[in-house]
Amino acid sequence: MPSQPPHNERVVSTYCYQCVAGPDLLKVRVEDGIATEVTPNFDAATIHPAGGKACVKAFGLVQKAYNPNRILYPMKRTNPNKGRGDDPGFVRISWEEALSLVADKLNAVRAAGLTDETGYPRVAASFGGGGTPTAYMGTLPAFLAAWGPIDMSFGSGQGVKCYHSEHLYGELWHRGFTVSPDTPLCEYLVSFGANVEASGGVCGVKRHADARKRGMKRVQIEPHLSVTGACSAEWIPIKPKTDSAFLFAMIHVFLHEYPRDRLDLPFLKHRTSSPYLVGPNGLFMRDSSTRKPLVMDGPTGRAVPFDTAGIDPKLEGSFVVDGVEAGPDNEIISHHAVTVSPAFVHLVAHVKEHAPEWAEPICDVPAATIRRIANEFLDHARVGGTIQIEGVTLPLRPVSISLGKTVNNGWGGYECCWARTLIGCLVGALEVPGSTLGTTVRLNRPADNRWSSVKPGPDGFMQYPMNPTSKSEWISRPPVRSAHRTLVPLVADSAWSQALGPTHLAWMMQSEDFDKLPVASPPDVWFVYRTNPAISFWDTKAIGNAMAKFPFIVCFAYTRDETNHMADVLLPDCTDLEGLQLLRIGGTKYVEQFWDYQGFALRAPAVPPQGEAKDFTWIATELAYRTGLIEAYNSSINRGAAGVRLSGKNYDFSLAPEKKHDVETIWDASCRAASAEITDGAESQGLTWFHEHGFRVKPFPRLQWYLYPKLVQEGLRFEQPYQEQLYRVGKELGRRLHEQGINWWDKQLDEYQPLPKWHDLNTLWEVALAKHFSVCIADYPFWLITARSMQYSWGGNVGIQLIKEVADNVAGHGNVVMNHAAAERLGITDGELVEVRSPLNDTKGRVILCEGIRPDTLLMIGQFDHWATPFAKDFHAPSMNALVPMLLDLTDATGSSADLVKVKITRLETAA
Amino acid sequence: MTRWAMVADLERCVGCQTCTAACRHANATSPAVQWRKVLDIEAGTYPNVSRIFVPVGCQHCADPPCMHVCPTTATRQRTDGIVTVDYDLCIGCAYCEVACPYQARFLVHEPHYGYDAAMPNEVERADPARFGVAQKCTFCSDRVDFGIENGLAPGVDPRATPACVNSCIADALHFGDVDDPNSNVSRLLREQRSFRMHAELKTDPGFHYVFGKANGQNSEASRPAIDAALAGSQLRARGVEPTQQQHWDWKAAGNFICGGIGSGLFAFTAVASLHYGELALLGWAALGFIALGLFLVLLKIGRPLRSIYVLRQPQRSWMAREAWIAAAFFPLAGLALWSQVPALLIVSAVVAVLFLCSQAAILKESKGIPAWRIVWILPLMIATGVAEGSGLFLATIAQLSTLLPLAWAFAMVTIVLVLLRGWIWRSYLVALAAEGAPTRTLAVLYEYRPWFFAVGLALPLALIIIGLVVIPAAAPLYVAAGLCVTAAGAVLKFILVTRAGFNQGFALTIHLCAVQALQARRSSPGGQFRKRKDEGVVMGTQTATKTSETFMFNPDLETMSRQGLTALQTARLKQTLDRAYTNVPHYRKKFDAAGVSPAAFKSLPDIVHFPFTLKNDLRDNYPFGMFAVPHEQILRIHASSGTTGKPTVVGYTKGDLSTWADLMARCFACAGTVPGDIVHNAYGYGLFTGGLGAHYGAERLGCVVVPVSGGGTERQVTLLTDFKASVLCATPSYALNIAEVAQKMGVDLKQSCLRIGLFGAEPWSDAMRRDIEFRLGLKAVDVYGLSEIMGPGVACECHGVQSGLHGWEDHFLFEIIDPETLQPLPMGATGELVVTTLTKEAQPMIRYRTRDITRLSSAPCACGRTHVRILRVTGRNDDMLIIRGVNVYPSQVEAVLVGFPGLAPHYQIVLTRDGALDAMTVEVELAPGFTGDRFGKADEVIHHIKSLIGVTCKVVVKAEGEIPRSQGKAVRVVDRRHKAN
Repeated sequence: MPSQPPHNERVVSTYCYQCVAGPDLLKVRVEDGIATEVTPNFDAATIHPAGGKACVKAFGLVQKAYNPNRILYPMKRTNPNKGRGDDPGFVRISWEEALSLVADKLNAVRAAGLTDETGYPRVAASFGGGGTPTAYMGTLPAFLAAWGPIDMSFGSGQGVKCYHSEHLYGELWHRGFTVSPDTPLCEYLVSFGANVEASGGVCGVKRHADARKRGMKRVQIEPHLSVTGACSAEWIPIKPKTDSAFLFAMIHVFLHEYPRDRLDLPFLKHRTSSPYLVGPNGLFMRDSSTRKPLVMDGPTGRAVPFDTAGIDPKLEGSFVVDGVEAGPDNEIISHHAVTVSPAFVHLVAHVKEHAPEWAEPICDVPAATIRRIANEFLDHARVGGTIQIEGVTLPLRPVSISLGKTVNNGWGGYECCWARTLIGCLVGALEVPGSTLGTTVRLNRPADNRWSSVKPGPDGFMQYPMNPTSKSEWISRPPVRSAHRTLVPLVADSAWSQALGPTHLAWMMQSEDFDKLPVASPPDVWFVYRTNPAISFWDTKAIGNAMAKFPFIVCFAYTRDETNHMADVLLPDCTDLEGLQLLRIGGTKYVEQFWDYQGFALRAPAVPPQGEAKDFTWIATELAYRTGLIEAYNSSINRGAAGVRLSGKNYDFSLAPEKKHDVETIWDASCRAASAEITDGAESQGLTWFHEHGFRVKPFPRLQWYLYPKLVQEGLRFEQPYQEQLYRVGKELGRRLHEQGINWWDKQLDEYQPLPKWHDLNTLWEVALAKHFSVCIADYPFWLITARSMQYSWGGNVGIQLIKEVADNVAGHGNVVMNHAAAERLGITDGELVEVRSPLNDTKGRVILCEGIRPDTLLMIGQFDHWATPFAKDFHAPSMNALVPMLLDLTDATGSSADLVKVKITRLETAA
Repeated sequence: MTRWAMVADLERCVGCQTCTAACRHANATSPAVQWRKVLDIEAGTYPNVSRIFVPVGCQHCADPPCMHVCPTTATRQRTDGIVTVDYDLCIGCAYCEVACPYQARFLVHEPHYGYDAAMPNEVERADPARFGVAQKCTFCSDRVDFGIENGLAPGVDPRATPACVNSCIADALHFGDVDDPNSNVSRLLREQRSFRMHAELKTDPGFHYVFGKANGQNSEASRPAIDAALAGSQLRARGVEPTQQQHWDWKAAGNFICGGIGSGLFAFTAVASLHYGELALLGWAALGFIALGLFLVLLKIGRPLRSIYVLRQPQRSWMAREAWIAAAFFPLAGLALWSQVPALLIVSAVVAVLFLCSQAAILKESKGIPAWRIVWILPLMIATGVAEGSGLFLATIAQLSTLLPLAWAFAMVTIVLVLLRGWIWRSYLVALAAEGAPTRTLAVLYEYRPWFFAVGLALPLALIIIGLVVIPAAAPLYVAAGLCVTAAGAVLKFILVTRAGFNQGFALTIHLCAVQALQARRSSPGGQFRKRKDEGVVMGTQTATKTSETFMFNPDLETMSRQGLTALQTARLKQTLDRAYTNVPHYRKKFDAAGVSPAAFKSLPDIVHFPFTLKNDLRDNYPFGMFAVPHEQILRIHASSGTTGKPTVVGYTKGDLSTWADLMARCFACAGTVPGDIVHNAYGYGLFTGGLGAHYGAERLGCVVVPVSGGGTERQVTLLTDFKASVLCATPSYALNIAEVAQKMGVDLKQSCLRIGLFGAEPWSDAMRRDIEFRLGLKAVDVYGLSEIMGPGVACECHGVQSGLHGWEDHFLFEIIDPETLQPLPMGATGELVVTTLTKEAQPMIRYRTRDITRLSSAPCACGRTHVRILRVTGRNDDMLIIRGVNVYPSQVEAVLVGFPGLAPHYQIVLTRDGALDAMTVEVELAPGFTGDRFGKADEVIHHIKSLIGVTCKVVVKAEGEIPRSQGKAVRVVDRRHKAN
């Protein structure tokens, strides 16, 4: 900080939310009206888990504002031909013309009906990953809410590149849409490819660094030595996509190699379904009258409903009982004097064959290593230990397992998530201090508070909003093009569900018909914001072709890119340092974002918009006004669509519904409502106050980091280990689909097992690829995987020079990472240009040889292959997205698939 | 005083480059100008790979090479240690860039922007003063100064702290005053292990790397460059490779070439023109060469208009000196050539040679470039310049009819110079390889070597010799020969500057092993090492889990107060005296004879009344007469070898063995060993206490012990590498033997995982320590013990401080006595060490005279241990030799020999009788590859021993491998006096 401000200089507080690991509160130095420097916001040092620091991506924001490649004026397409080879012929137009163009189109749609003949919405929208665009799109959500049905199922990465199984099963089992170790207390963490040092944001990095210094041991199990592996105590190079075998072997060790009392038996008995008796049909044995699942009470020797007071249910043994099973479609199967065992017994039998010696050849990890990890995990679990949190005594179980992507999506995700959650249950390490925690709730409501979302459901578990599978309620006609509610009961029906469901189906439907589903039309209008599916999804060629057929595409555009190459209208919006918005911060959220505070932060414009870029709230208001939706739009804002409800107990800052309000008025009302919310109506400072202070928080109870106390309070159990509900739902779904004549989802239906079956995924992949492309899979000897980059991921900053510059300091960016010895065998030298080809397509790049990767694996960090984005198109960096096919065979029951494909590598020339 | 320094925690850093980006913002540097950045380094081979992130940048050295070489005073050092650059003075000569071993200098000639055109922020913060000059990190001195002016603590308050530190999301970077023991950085350096990069270059960097925990002060675990390991060895490392310097191009090389030719040519011309005035023209040509060279430099520098500033700093910079010499030389030489005054001619010839020397020195001072900084560069550059000059001179006079008759004589001179140049070139290459130059540097030079031999040596020699024989055809032959000589030299310099000028990269390999080992052993359950107390800790503070970690094996006892120790010693000594008196007839007899009884002992000073115990007492009571317990309580017996009489026997009870293991574990921890370390124990197993003593101690600490014992050295090398041992236990002489065998096997143990050497059982000098550390790439720690007292583990140096060996006073009482008068000496005085055991059950030793000459210090040690420190024992008074009236300890001889240029660190002292007098012959051995004059070497050694020890001796220089190697305890003194009788 210079001793004398050289000239007109000021500092503006704002935030960076370029990835879900944010927001990072920061300050921007503005000299003579020009943003010159980003710094941490040390005002937040005490309230932010990482001391107010901002991640490297935030330092790209200055260039993001001044990037000469920005689109600074509204533009329209003049060449009606859409295609990669066609110059769109964009010409500058006025905002008036641009908005009229869009509004006219929208009004025409409204006139024709919000949904088309097939029942699909005429308007579609795609937004970037993890909901980060909502931190910048101002009041657009209010416009979308006012509009009505919108198809948001055209994936731009969601579903195939997210922590998909964790989102769904995590939310089912412990309100863990995202899952994190309780890093501040954890002592032993087994990480299957979770790349927290790249994806955990500043909070993750800071907390894990603290944990390392404290002595937490992290074992990183993944095919290559990522930055997270680098910072771990141990790296175990596992064969790609065999993590479930490792996890099953760990369960085997716990259940077959240790005395039972090493496990947390009270937890298993009273906080899980382990003691529930399982009937001959694989369903819970229930009390005939109450329909409650039965357990065998040890002291009395009687089968009683699970919630009978004062019982000590037995985990093992077989018993002769009377009762009923509740099958699909409310079928009741009565039993008299039938011999049954608790679910725990079924679990023990289920993993009997899965000894470490079984897993060794599958994972290519020595059995002794697997056994050692299991032993260390158990040794660190401290079964029986306790800790005081805010005066409440809770179990302390400082062990956790985290799962990365590719482990977590597609086939195998169910097994891995189940095993991870189950292992926690075996030692009582789920949702208690030190253990595995959920951090976000998205599918259950209310979605802003994990505790409030806990509601008692049937059978002693939490209520979960499955999409209906009963004969009367099943949604046979999909509301959007991915058919998420039709095919995936688990995806629920929240605002987020569309983005999760089988998003590649929406793309696939554009070129192929799915038997008995309505033929999918392209949307009349497609909005795109902060996403580039033509690069970030799979089979990018097919995606590009599909979107080229969309009749009217509106892209909120930062620079030209591969998706807005197909656009009809480009609308420039304010970048991060230019726009105004209030954002909810703190509480528990996403990766490692659990705070001791909660509140709001203001994204204040540090500099005026460049060119004619407009604040998103202004754009949304204009669209609402021009489509005649201003009242619904304002009401939507009043109800909280812009992040905070404008009225509450003791306060009301609601906007007049019929008026077109300016940006400042809208956010001033939001700021006042936020102040009031935080102070229970006592204070109502508005925009000026937030401009001055940047953020406003109140304490968030640490006890609420943990779901366990809430479950105890509600007398509920975790729905583990036995998935009776899923089993039944799967059966019902199968009946519905078959009744409709849909048989192409049968493979997926098979995944609805009460105890997940282990799958040989390597073979599954190889067979699917070989079958679909009619190739000899042996010709494709390498597994190609990808990894996250802290510098690039989610940021939409691939065109930022500074980001490219610093990312290049991290090995592997922009290259094909390959094992040194494997390359030597093929005569490939460091820096050489190669072609990497999958059965679908090929990509080119230069090889970087290293030791920290399995010889059978290739790695491409991030997603590149740009051909239109200025600056990035000169990288010549390879990307795996073009190589990964969208195949139904490789889609699991949750509608997800994994970033994984088999490839061959060919030398193109000798390196210069 | 204040010294600002940076501390980077390698266990925290995740390589995210946020600091890089923040520095670019804060300092508005151009794209790719990264004053701070983080290296991404991978080492090892699949699947045993480690990857580590290492922040680098200007190290703000206390002794900055960049400042020393700066000709303009632009680079300066503030009193607080920050190295600064004055952009208004810098001429952009890039000398600092080649002098900096840390690649921390950036010379930017013109504006560069993130995109094709400047963005508003780039325009706003553009600073034209930064172009054409050498930039570097300033530790954000503006923030530091702002903080101090406003009463803020730099490193604590973000407003007064460098941007990189502020931005670091992992809290890996820290900034503060290392001279303030209470500062954040001092605390980190105390609490953790640390090292500095390239510390062997003695730049005293102000940038420290910490990892792990150590209850000691900053340790200098510096490593030589890893360059040699980068190609072909068992370890692959990525991210640290040396790179070719880009700053001195063909123009800079042109100055060395033209300057060499010109000054050499001028010197010959000036001398020759004393008799041959017609050579003046050649002299003017020589001046032209030099001027051309300097003109090329002018073309190269960033700010040619300021070039006059080059004269500002002749007191330090050889570049400034070169400029001054040139400034004096041109008028002087011009006047001399014009006036032909003999004295002027001679003086100007001398100045020309001085100019040549200054150019040589310029390269020599380039600490960043291994091929330039070695001492052999001086003779090489001078010899090359002179030879080039002679070549051109020969070529010229051979064409002048008046001088042609004399050309044969000068041809002879040229032969001599060319041979000399060839020999120096060869020596340079040998020395360069020996010092560990970047492999690519060596590859470039080796590639040129045959060419140089052919064109620079063989061909001109042949031509001249033919010319001498076939006189009529001599002239063209001489011309050709002369041109060859000159051309070869010119090309040599061109290659040396532009192609072989690799920097040394970054050097961290050994620490990769250390960091990885440390992370791997984290929280191994059941370890005594990391104790935790976190049951029921109340939440609310930032860290809920309170953990206590320490590298002490028994922190309570090791940090006991001195008063507490005295009380403990008094109580235990009383019991020991009682037990000795009651149970050992020998003591009863001696106590009675001395008129003392245990009852008379009240406080520690009373011990002086009790009689000493001598080694002979043990022999007299051979075998078990000194035992104080019944035989059935004895669990083990050790004994000396008995080569000089009866063996001395020592017995141990179960309790003794346990205490011993505890104390040895304490020593291991003190030496920096931690549970999980793999200990390669090459001490002899058997009657000798070393092997089993170290063995059980290491096991007690929780280490993995490889009980390899002594001998089978080749196998030891293999096991060391294969088992990835991190700690080596051996006698120092055997450690050297291992190093030597490894070298012969082509194994570079510097690249192994070895981190610590626990050496003892024989006296060794500091020179020997440095040599071992260099050869094995570990930290050598001295451990002390005697079998009569217990065995190894009586005292040990602490890893962090290494200022004396902590003697474990809760188990031993240490005294220093005057060996002549046997009177006790005060704390700090030098004398003979006397030890009394305080807890030994089987065999208490009362006031055992160790014969070791040393002194004690009870001053607090920075490591936190309170136990008395025994200064390193480098001699024993029964080792002392009296040579012609002079007291000589073998260790003194060793100190002279180890590290002596051209000698291997092996020696023997042979004592003979020369008439009535003892005579000493020192047998030394030549270093591998030494091809110099053996007799000259002997004279050098004689001279050094005479001047440093004060005794005249004979020296026999033996060939490589002729001195017997240690297989355990080294035989350093061979006494042939009795045989002679």
